[in-house]
Order: sequence, then structure tokens, then C-alpha cells
Amino acid sequence: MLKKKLKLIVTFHTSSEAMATEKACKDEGIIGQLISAPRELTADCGISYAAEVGDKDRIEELLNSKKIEYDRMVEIEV
Amino acid sequence: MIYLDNAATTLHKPEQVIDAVANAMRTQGNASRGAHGATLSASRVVYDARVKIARFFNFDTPSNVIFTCNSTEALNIAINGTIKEGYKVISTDTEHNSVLRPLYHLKKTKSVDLQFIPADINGVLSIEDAKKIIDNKTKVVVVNHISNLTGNINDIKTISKIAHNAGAILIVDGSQSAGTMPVDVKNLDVDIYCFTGHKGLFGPQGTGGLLVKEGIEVDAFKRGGSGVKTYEEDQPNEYPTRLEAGTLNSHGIAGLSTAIDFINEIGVENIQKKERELTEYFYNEVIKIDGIKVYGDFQSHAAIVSLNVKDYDSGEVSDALSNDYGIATRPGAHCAPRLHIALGTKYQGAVRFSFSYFTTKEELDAAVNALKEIAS
Repeated sequence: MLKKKLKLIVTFHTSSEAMATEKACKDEGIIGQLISAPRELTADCGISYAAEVGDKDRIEELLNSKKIEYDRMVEIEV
Repeated sequence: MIYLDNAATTLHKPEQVIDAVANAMRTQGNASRGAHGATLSASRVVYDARVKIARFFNFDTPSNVIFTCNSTEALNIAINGTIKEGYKVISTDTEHNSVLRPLYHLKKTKSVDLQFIPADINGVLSIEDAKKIIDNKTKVVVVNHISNLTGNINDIKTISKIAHNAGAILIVDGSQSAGTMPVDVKNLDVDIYCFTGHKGLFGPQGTGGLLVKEGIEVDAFKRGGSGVKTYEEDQPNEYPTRLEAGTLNSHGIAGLSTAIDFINEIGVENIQKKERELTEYFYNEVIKIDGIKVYGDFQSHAAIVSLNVKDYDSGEVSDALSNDYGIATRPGAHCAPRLHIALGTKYQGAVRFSFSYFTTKEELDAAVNALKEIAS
């Protein structure tokens, strides 16, 4: 059975934005990983970035400062 | 073989570029297709390459670095994606067919008012003529950065000012400039810069791209799989996905990315300096030979020297260089019909010698001696 855990999920318009997010977060020491976009958020087959819920403000600030666009930032169980 | 056809493609590639392609073929999945290790490995390589290329050309927006299979494809995307029905479009006599043929086609199919900045007998563009024909009706200007025939460097910054003052956008063909000289697209104020990976950048064939300045709209030219927004009927509008349907050449892009590392280690300024020294040396030697005529303006010049020997067919001279001396050059028309007409070489063509960072003075001496014998 697949185990679920509450995560912060960031979805994107392009894979390029997802890769930019992964790199920016890694450079800042933020722990997260790219995962298949959860179907609750999108029926598209794109990738999303999953991180700890507590890092939401940091990630939001980081993406805004680096002008990395994203679609949504949502807390869900994945 | 002495390879002096680097304007066609650089034959001598850095070993690390070859290794990077081989490694990519062993490890990389399909970029932007899921979230397993192999696809992410490809996606990371592709993204890193966008960032490196953006930095290399002093371009602000990595996501607007669009990958193509060469500069011809990049130019076709830029030209067909920006020029609409009835537009006034200005180009130049120095262009390659990768610009001319798409423009001639649009002249026929979209009633484009197509005009050209003329080149003089040395292949130099007249800025005064550019000022006259680029007016406020002009929508798009397409200009070669460096002529693949003469090696002349066009004054992009001045043409950019003229184009933008008229309200037009500027597309630059950087096929010969990428990797052979510092190119700062911000300083030059270029709207779309098209490049290939396999010439001065020392990357694999099948790589290239275009840099689309933020705010410039280029219509999608192909539609298909993108790995995102699967249920949308049209191609996603965001760059780079808008212009990159289908599987990317991530193996080639891995090589291109490593090639840019190689150039950065040496310094593109040092590459330009060495190539300029080689070019000046060769030029100064060949102009001493009776019966040789060299084309172009050597005030502002890249590592290309085109010439003819007496009234000999350029193909015969190139074949003799290859068969009798083992020297590879390019004869004929070089896909540059308007410039050959301007130079008066439509019938004879020209023999093009083009150098790279790996060319040696000894190789140039061998070419000069061969030309002396052929001309004697």
C-alpha cells in the first residue's frame, strides 16, 4: 500500500520551471524532490516539486526573488 | 587531412564533448517525461544547458532558450513565427539561404514586402542604405552576424538601433558568431538570436537554438508531445514548450553543454584572438601570391578567407587541394547567392578557407604552399 504524507506541492506550466525550482531550492539547502504531478492538482502528466510544508514561505520567497514562475503551491497528502 | 572547413562544421571536437554525448546515451531518459531518475537526469542536463547558454550570450531568461536541431531550423522558426501577411521585412545581401529561402517563400505566400540592404564589392553592408530602407512600416529585420562567405562581421549594434527606432524587431543569424567571438545579446539589443551548436561552439551536429527576448512572440511551428498540459488541445503557450514539441536531442544537448564549459575554460576572447591571428597570417601570405584574389573587408573579420586562383573554377581548386595536398576547403556558392552576385563571383564561386581554435600555423603554411603551386 502506498503511504501518504502531507507535503507542499508546487506545480508548473513547463518542465523548465520545475528544473529551475529544483536547482534554486537545492542551492538554498531546501529539501525536496521532483515527483509526478498529483492527479488531485492536475490531470496533466507534468512534474511537480514536493517539499516540507514548513518550507512554504521560504520557497515562495525564493521563487519570487528568482522570478521562477509556477502554477500552484498547495498542501496535500501525497 | 588538414581541415580548413570549420565554417561548415568544426571537425575537431574536444574529447570531453564526445564523452559527454556517449555518457548521455548511456544514462539519460526522455527529458520532461515523468519523474524517474533517468528522465530527471535528462531534464537536469537540458535545464543546465539552457542556463549555461543564457549566461554565455548574456541573456536573462533561460526558459526562453529554445533548442532546435541547427540554426536553419532556429531561423525558420523565428522568421515564420514572427512575420505575418503583408509585413515589410528587411534583410541583407550577406544572408545565407537559411534566411533567404524562408523569406522568399513568405514573399510568395504572405505577400511580404521584402527588401535588402545591399552589400558592396567587398561584401560590406551600407549603413546609409539601411537607414533609408528601414522605415516605420518595417516590422522585422533579419541580419547575418558574420558572413559565412567573406567572414565580414556586420555592425549588429547599429542595425539594431535603426530597426528599433523604426519599431521593428531584429532577428540575428549567429551561425558563424556563436563561439567564435563574444556575443552579448543584451548589449547588441537583439530580439531573437539564432545559433547552431556544431560550428564555433564545438558541439555535436543536431544541436542549436534561438534566444527569444522576453515579450517577443514567436508562433508555434510544430505541435505535439510536451510532457505537460496534456489535455489542452493546442501547444502550451509558455516558452520553451511552445517551440519544443517532441523529444529533445538531450544527448546532443549534453555535448553542447560540455562544449560551452570547454569554451568558457579557454575564454571566448582567447579563441577569437587566436583565430584572428591565424586569419591575419594566412591572409597576409596569400595576398602575396600572384593570381590570387581575396574577397571581403579585413577590418572587421572572422576566421574565414575566401579567394580565387586566376580564373580557375573554385571547385577544381578545392578538389586539387583535397586530392593532391589533403587540404579540406569549401568551393562553390556557399548557400550565399546574393553575396556572390555582389562580389561578382556567381560564375566562378570561391574557395573558402575557414579556421578554428585547433588550426595550427603549420597547417596554414601547407595551405599557402599548395596555393603557390596551384597558382604557378
